[in-house]
Amino acid sequence: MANSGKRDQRSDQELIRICNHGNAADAARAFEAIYKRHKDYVIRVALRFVRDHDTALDVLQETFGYLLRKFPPSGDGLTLTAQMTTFLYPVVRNSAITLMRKADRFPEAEGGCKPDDLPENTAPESGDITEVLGGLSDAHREVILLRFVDDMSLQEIAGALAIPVGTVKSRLHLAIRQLRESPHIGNLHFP
Amino acid sequence: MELEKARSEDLPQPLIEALKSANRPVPMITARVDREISEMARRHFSVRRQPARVPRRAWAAMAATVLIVVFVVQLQSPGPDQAVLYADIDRSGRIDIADVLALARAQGPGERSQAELDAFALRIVSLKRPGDSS
Repeated sequence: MANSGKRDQRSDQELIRICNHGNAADAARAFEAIYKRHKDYVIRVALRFVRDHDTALDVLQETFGYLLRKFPPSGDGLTLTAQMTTFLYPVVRNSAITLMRKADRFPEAEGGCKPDDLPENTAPESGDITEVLGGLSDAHREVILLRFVDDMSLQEIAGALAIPVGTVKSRLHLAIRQLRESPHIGNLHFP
Repeated sequence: MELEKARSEDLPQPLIEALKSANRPVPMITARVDREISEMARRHFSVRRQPARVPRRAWAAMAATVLIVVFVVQLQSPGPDQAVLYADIDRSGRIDIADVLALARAQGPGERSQAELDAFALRIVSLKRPGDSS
């Protein structure tokens, strides 16, 4: 599958159209192209929530399994109304939370899972970026990472987190201010 | 948008770079994982049934055949009005003795035998009413 070095030039929309309507061989190839294109993103996001590689790989499989089930014959087909990453983010997040709960490594929270339920960062080394981010709440850290690492627009973040754009702006504003005022930022060793 | 504009101003570029660096993809997806997902996709799509597609030309040929059959059947079976007025030679709307005379005029004496004409006359001037079975 992902062993061919050539990058598929077709857009995500085109690949998804083939997965929805193409014949079995074409659909499988199109799905593999989607996987190849987004697997690193999925792993990267998964590691924000689970912190260990084995569980992140499980999240990867769960995420692409979920995506696969969207396509016929088991599903009705997928209509991509935003970026693929916007679609994948909540899937990865929910898969990670579910797997962590299953593994009993995740503290049970009442009334569903909120960003604040996410596991705290591991103990940061002095001058580490995680030390700086550790001062943020999970909700604020999440929008910072989506905005500056994943390069998502405000609208895409709102779509991925299923929250209003105004909330994204507010969280981002507070997070940026907090980062600027962080006492750790002066100790940060930039690569 | 203030925040959009503030993106690079409010968060120092080195900090953004540090964030990106810390979240760089880790080369941890093995060929085995790739293979498993590939096989999962093949299994999923292999049970997909392709809709039976009839070529457009086949549909046109089928429609033409139906039309021809309907046309031929209609040609071969006269309508009820035609059956009733089959012997209305003078096209008066009634079948009566005038039709016999019209037939006699139209046909020369040598073309039909007298017996045939008599049989015809007997049939069309029958005292039986249409639909009378006795």
